[in-house]
Amino acid sequence: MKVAAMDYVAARSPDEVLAVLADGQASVLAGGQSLVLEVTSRAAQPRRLVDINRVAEFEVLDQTDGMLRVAPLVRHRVFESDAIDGPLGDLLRVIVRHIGHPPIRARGTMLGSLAYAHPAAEWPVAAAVLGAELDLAGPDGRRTLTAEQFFTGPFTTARRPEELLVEVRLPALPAGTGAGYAEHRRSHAKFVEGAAIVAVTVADGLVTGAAIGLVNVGPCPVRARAAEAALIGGPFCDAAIIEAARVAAEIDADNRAMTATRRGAIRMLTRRALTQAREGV
Amino acid sequence: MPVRLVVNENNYEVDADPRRSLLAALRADCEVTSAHAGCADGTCGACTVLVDGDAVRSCLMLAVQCDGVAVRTAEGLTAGHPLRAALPGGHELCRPGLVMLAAGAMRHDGDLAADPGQMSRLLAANLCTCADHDQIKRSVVRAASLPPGASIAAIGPSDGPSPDATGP
Ligand SMILES: Cc1cc2nc3c(=O)[nH]c(=O)nc-3n(C[C@H](O)[C@H](O)[C@H](O)COP(=O)(O)OP(=O)(O)OC[C@H]3O[C@@H](n4cnc5c(N)ncnc54)[C@H](O)[C@@H]3O)c2cc1C
Ligand code: FES
Repeated sequence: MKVAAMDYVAARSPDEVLAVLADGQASVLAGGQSLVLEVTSRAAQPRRLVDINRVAEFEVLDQTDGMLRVAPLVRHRVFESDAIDGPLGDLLRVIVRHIGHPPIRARGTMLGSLAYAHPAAEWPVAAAVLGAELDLAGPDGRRTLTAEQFFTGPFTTARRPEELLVEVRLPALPAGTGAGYAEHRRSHAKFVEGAAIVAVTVADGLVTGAAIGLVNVGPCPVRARAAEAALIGGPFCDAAIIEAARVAAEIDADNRAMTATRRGAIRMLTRRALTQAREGV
Repeated sequence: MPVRLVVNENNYEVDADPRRSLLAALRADCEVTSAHAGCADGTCGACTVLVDGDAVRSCLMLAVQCDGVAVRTAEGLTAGHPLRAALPGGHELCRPGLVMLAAGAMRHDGDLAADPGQMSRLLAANLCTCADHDQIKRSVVRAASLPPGASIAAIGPSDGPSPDATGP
């Protein structure tokens, strides 16, 4: 007799998802755009899959009181529409167009991408740039982590096996914020070689807030903190952008894997993303 | 665990080892020959079909996930569908996937077919390994803009304007 090597459960409610996850032996199946390949190729052999695609509550995207709440089944393509307003919507729209292709974006989810924690994925860095709060639900209730706490390495997060990433909250960007995205990618069917995601806020001609995130530059999402500090307090001019990009490229000074070519790419991408952000301020 | 797939409005009971892809079940158990396994990792799009109206990679869905859900393949494009004109008898590896990619997008955006530039940018999502990719893509772009029921003769290679650049 053939023994089923893997069980499959199509959950109907959030509680059912948590119940199946409780013994720590199950994997969540969200968009499947990373997990299905691992399962069909046997690269991953979870004991059980809990499919969340029939849990209607998980499709909710809500924007109230300056906070965007994203549930586990909000597909990438939702961020292509003009459903989200303000500079936050602008930034998410410019990023999402680069994630895979329309059929991938019709299935793949933002929370799945965060849980997967691919070092060259865009959403984890966007979460770090935007100051996201990530809610995990498990047998002992909910806990909230920042992006810095959540991402612990390539394909590795602080999520425990019995936990579901149940909501991600992205605060709205203040008025006067310009957002920018620039990438280097060999083919649209591939993850990026590198990318910069930035959000810069200007008030009375001076930079009051700056977040610069770098994709595929470290094991976890990277913020170019020194470059951000270099921008804050000054005018958002050409010279400031060039200087911030130079500082960004000095990141992780002791890392010998950061060749001159990669540093050059970081400088160029940061400069382009900041220039784009200035146009949107 | 038996699974019922509804493919082009026909019911099929398929053996569903939960690790089996929708693509594998379609080809082995549902008389589908149009969806192809090109890369089997989501890159090429030769396996593109409609699931619940969306164009998706059938190699990146599990058959068990589609229990009772409407699946449509190139074989099942309805009689009057303009894209039928882009499907001659034989199936190159990439053509049915391109057609289903276009069919899914046209369901979501009624104006898409009239915009050859946007249409060919969309088709850049699928790859092809033979030499005819551009010509095949052009025929899909042109068929999309035809009146329903038009014949294959209407989309000869020299017919109509060439669409814009074929995407990134
Ligand atoms: C051709 C191709 C190109 C791509 N290009 C890009 C790209 O350029 N950039 C990019 O970022 N991504 C890219 N992707 C990946 C895509 O974005 C995936 O959708 C994403 O990585 C995973 O999201 P998913 O919803 O499909 O998750 P799944 O594949 O369902 O799951 C991925 C992992 O996360 C876990 N998981 C999912 N949701 C949850 C949850 N709510 N709580 C806990 N665990 C969860 C799963 O158990 C699994 O381990 C590409 C994929 C393909 C096939
Ligand atoms: S076979 Fe599915 S995308 Fe290539």
